[in-house]
Amino acid sequence: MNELKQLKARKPELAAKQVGNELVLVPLQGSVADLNEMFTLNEVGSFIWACLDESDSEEEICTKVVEEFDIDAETAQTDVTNFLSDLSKFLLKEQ
Amino acid sequence: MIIRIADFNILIKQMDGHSIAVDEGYVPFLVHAENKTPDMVVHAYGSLPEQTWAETAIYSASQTDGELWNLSKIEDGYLLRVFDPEEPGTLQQLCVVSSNFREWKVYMASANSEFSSIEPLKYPLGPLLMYYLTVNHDAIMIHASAISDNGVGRLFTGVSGKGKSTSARLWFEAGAEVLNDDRLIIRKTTEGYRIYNTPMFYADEPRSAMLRSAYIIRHHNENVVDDIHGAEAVSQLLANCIQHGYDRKMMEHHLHFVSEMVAHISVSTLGFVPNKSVIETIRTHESRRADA
Repeated sequence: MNELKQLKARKPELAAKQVGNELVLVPLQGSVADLNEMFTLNEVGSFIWACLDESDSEEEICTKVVEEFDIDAETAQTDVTNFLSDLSKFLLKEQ
Repeated sequence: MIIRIADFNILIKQMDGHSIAVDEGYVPFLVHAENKTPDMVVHAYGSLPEQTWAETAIYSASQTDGELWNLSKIEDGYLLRVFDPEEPGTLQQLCVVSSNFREWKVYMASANSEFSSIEPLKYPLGPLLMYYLTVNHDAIMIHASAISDNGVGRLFTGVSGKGKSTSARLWFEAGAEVLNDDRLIIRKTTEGYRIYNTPMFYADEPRSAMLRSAYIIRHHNENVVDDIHGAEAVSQLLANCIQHGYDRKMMEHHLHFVSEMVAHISVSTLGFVPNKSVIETIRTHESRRADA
């Protein structure tokens, strides 16, 4: 399974709350929330998080970020790659 | 018997002739019967029931020396088993709990004579009941100390050793009222967010104040206050909230409550020197923020 698919598969294991333009993620491990392991996402991160469900590739997410935030493709690619890397470290560290 | 905690009414009914006893910490919270629907009802029994249930284990709370309590799902609610903290593995109470956590049948496991008194809220069940009160309402429990400074409520939270009790002491010495230095309930009211103390192992009267500011504290070599907002404020406060969230709905309740609260109170990180200088630092900071 590629990393994007792994991330999408882990989404149901988190409780998420939008706070303004940001998002707070709390992992539910064995159905118990780990309040020492929270992840906060800024506006761009929140948007990428929302895009995960309906995107099949990193390139697809980049295209949506370019459209949403009116930035160039290179900047979007860097943002998306960095974000997915951080998210993977957070979500997939036990795998 | 009615115990009022954080303006919640808990009705405790003796069911089989045993009189009800409570720890001294609960005594100041006892109120006279009122014509008000209780927020929680506890039916107290002096011995275990003969009935058995088909159950599915869902959560276990353990300490280093053993299991403190566990929860199972049954057909129309939950079974909560509470163990004696001083005798690991020894059942203390068996509770049959309705699915909305409002109706509790508490069966004492220890052998009692027909006329002896029973203590249905014996620790750790009492704090557990308080927690389950909050999950049904706009409320949350938090590890924190809190003070009322001429009616201005301030809360200081952080993991053990970060200075909760020290903060409470410093404010007490500066003339403020200490609400509690360990465990609090915060409720959303029509006027704003109110902080309440809860019964402890020692007697103290019910106290509360409107919450203006929350500080995430740590010891430091100088006094430094930094306001935080949004997701950072939510995660920092939530990390210190009490949660036995074995299901998503409870966690989402906590997340929703705290995220709404941070839009109405100020939240700051506070590095502090443990002396009275921090009092002036906080008052000055809040005054400047109000002027800004």
